Amino acid sequence: MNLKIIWYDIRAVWNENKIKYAVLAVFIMLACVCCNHSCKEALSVDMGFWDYIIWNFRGMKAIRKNQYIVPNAYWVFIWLYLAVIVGVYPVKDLHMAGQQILLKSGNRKAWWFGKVIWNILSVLGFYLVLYLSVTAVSIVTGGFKAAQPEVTAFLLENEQIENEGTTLYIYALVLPVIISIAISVTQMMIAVVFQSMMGYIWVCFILAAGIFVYSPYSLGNYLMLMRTPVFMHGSVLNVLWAVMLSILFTAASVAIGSIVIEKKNIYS
Amino acid sequence: MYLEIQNISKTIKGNKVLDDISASMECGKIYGFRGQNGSGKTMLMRCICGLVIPDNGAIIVDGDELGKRISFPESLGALIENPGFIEHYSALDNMRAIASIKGIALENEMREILQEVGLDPDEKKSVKKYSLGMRQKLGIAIALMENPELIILDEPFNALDEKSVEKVKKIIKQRAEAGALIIVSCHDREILDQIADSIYYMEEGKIIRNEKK
Repeated sequence: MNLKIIWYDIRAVWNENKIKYAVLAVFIMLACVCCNHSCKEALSVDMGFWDYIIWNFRGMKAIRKNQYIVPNAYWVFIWLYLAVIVGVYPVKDLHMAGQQILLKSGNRKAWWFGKVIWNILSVLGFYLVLYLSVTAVSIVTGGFKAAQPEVTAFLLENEQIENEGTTLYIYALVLPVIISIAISVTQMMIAVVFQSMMGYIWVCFILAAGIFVYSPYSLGNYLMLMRTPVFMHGSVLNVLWAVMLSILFTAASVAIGSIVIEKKNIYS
Repeated sequence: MYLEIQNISKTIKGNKVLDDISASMECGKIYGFRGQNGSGKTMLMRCICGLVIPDNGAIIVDGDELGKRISFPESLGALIENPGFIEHYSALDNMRAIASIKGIALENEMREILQEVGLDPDEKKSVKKYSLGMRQKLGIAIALMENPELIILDEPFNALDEKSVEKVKKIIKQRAEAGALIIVSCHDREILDQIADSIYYMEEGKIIRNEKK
């Protein structure tokens, strides 16, 4: 039954989401091309796959006391965009065609778990589009070489990679996905319990807290490569805390959502 | 199919929208509900569907209390207020998408129901281009597919032309004769008189009168 609900969700929102994914792809590719252009002008080298990944996920340095900082608008935009992709549909559907699906499924929990799976798939879809977009630009520019220190220093205000290899793969490719799932599932839970706007406020809170609070307990930090052990020797962020927080937020949100949905009154 | 509504009440933001409603309904009959806007008809139907949980009382469907063993009646077709659809799908695709959940409605059955209500099953036009009347017909068709034992139709005749009203009345009677328990709300007294076996009158969340044929 859940698979059928998930398949319905994917089809129901595909028309809208395919446009959002296409816009994301174009945006990321354009941003990467522009970035590569700047890099080429300054350093006469093309950026490669890992340079693009680092640039897209760089975030910003940890804020020190009495330090003035300008939040990275690009970084904020990417995560807000993900919030828009997953934020509208679940609650909207509950008050539209999804009501029939709910009635036919015969089971409020089945509806909720179906939406959780849809949410996770949407986040994975977001990352797939992001990685494919970067890959597409990489094919045309610098290929798939390792991150280039001179490019990193140029793009990231003289920052240098402290740890490459497995550390880079985990913090650049794996942890952002896990963290994003936790944030998105929690966003959806809040939207269903209260309303969609509260879900967006949650995402804004996470991003703001990530910017201004440098802590292993602040989810947003794990979306910023510059704060991780990849760039920071002695970084307070670590994989264990990231995974534990993600599991905690995701599990709690799924549990709360499954309890709330049983008693939720559904009006049109 | 046997439905029992036992002393249900519902208050929303301090406003008592349902006040100690009780009724017993059995299969093969059509029950009409009539009342002013805001009298509680739609809210009652939402409670019977399981979409809204009453503050007090119980709704028992074939011996099972809603909200306990079951969330919704197991064999239910419902049209509540303005039906929602997958807007970029055609009528038939919408039915297929909803039918895919239980997987019991056959393709030819869905086509037949669409034709019965006056829609073309081969129409490729997306629902977002439909008129109000066409959307209403599709909502009715979706409520009727899978031959549910309990059919709830909230103002099904809204936005329908005369010919379509007659078609829908005929379908409702046929379904009742086939054994379905049908609950219909309608502002038009004449229509209810023609189809309903029993008419409940509602006012300010209460059933004030019940006329049986």
